[in-house]
Amino acid sequence: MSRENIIKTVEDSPVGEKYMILNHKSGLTVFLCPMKKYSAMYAQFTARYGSLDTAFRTDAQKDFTRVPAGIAHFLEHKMFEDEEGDAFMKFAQTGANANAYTSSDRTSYELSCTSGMMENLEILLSMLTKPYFTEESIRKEREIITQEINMYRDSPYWNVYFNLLRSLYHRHPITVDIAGTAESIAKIDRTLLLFCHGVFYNLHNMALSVSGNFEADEVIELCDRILESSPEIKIDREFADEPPEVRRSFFSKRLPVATPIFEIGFKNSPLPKQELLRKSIAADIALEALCGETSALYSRLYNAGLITDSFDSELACEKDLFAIIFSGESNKPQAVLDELLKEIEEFRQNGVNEEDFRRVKKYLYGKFAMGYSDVESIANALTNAFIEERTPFEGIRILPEISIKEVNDAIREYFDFGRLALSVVEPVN
Amino acid sequence: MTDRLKREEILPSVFFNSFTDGLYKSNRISINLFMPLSRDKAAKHALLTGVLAKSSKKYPSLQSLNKKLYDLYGAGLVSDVSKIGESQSVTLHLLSVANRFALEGENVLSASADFLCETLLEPNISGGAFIPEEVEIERARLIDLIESQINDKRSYAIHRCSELLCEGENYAIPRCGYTEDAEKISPEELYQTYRELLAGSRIEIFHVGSDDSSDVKALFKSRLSVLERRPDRSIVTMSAAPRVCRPPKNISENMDVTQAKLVLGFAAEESKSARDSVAMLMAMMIYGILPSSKLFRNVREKLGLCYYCTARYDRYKSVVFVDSGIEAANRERAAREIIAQLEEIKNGEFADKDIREARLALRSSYRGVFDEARLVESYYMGNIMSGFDKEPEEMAAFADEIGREEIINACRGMKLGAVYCLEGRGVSA
Repeated sequence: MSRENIIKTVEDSPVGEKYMILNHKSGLTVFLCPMKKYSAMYAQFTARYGSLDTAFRTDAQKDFTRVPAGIAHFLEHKMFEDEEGDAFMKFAQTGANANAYTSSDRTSYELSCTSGMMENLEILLSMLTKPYFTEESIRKEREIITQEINMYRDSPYWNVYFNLLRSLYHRHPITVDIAGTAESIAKIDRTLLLFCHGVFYNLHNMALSVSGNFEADEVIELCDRILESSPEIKIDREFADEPPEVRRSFFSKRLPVATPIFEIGFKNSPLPKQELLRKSIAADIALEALCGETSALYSRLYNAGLITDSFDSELACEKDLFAIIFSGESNKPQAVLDELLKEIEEFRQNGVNEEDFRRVKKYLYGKFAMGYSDVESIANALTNAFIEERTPFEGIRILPEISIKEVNDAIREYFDFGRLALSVVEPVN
Repeated sequence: MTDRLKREEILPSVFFNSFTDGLYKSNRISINLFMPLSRDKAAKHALLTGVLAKSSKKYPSLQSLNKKLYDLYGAGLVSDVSKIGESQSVTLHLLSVANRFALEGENVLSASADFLCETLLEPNISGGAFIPEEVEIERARLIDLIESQINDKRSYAIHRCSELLCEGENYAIPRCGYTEDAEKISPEELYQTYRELLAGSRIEIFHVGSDDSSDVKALFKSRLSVLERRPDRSIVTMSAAPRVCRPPKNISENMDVTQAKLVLGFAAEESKSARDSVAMLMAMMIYGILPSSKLFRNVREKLGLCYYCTARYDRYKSVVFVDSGIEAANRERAAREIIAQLEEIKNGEFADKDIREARLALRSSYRGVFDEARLVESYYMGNIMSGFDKEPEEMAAFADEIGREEIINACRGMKLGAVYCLEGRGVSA
């Protein structure tokens, strides 16, 4: 194993920003994208550790360990604490903005500031590599997280989404809220938190992305000074054995909403990792052609008052999971579903029209280009590449290569009428 | 006038504002038409934003209009109404890629400006009215939007508190007006409103982005010069703070929610100068905006009563709302603590460290203004609306100079005027 820093510089990224990839001797992957004309620096320190990672083992362990749902998120809340109190307070003293979030595949800590860049970065790196929690603070955090869970419970959008996932999947961990449940977080204690930190916050499982106004050399020096090299740990994640069919095809719940809101999902087998980006872009083009704002279906549904401009489609492309989801508001969700199925059938027969295909690609190209317009988006793109184990900014490079055949194949493959579910939240009265 | 932003009155009460820098990867153009906020016009203006952005004479269907946007590399057209103090603004805004990203050398900026002019000035009309079918679709969408406000309990509760605090004043009118008004607007009346808006509003056009502004300015000047303008010069955006009564108004409502929402509404003193407004902002940052604020430290961290408890300050109306998601049983305790924390600030019970942190956070946000086109627009629009003509550096310099006394003075006049609580059914505290 190498104990030297290895730096690779990429001069010609498709978005015009030059960046560096540093394989730091500590094991940490560091992306550096100095953008000197900006005044802010943005840093993102990310662990490949999300809400789905509830059963795992390292190469030192024979058996899988199962931990309570919501632990990655709980740990995220607690990492801001150290012997002197709350790191939020330290960032406040330097004028930095700090935040953190947990998603299904990562825990990310972000920092943005326009002065004292290295001082701030030092606080962030120290905070994440040196856990400190007491039983008392864990108890208090549990109460705060319980309030957070309750807050989401009242959101109709949260309900319609999770009810869809719980209809599509039998036992996949995606069906559990990122924050866990009141019962699961009751089981989280100091020992468990320290154990998970030890496994997932090892530097080989983490990346630091920095963009904006900073000196690359200073970040490297800081990493050299603060980060202690750790032995590489290989993490093996276990996923529940998920059957291909959906659990149920319809679920409805009543909540205080004005108009029913719905989500429609098509369950698919996970995409192979090496083709994930290419296939997901082909699927994006397919969705735009099928029901994007320029599609015949969108106009028909909109003009018939069956959807509003909140209608949307997206890919849920996670570790070991691939689904296509349509969402919106409608007084007749079933009618939207019927129309959607008819249109898919039509596209299967006739394929995507050549002109629409070109237009959608132009649209997506513009979205990619505009998507990298601030320092945050650049660091995010670099982090995404780390999480997905690929080259940064690949999407904008692959897009022109996608053929109409790949798009038509996506339409034929990804919409199995036997593997779909509809989730609805209906008004109380 | 400010030296960075180029501002010019190109026609009576039509202002063209531009700021360009090759740093940006896109161009943002917005047309903002300001009128006084009134019950009579609120819903009409909201309906107008829907109708205008769905078709035009040249692109008479939603599909053809959207195809044009896709051809402009996925330019995003947004139309919206906003409430600034007691003014209402009808805004059309287009975001498109910088010309350097165009794959065939097209002038995307000119095409975008042209498209935006057509959308505003050449709507799809017939016989002195908007197309009845289109009006019906947008009416349904608007009513749905108004009614769907209850979907987001947090913003719903804040809105209810503002209605209570500013009862009988125009500020209490919701951004999109009322359902019963939206139901009655005829296509003819809507067209009449449109004509009055074009003739009477104060128009603020912004171009912030990568490419040169001169063509855009010339285009707007020539296209808008054909309008018969009778601008209402009295349109102001800063309005007087509400008069509060004693004891404060107090209302609780019940809904099917797990988490109660508590909102306290305060009337503040009006800022007489840019410096005063910075002092008030600093007071509110210390009170409840910063992550290290007194509300966060005490209501959330020390007492563990909530997941969030924050203050928001509307400088155009001199009102402050403190909102919190709590267990209904903790309602009195939380309200007491929120009020007590404000009293502490008024009594000067805050640390020098708090002042320093507010200063640093403000300095950081003023310094970051030029990093993003949208921030540039919102900063200078705020300047124009408040009538305080200061560069971000000057505002940051105020923050550096303002000390304890000015902060105390800024918030000393704050009076609690309304307490609103949204609670779950059945379980009473």
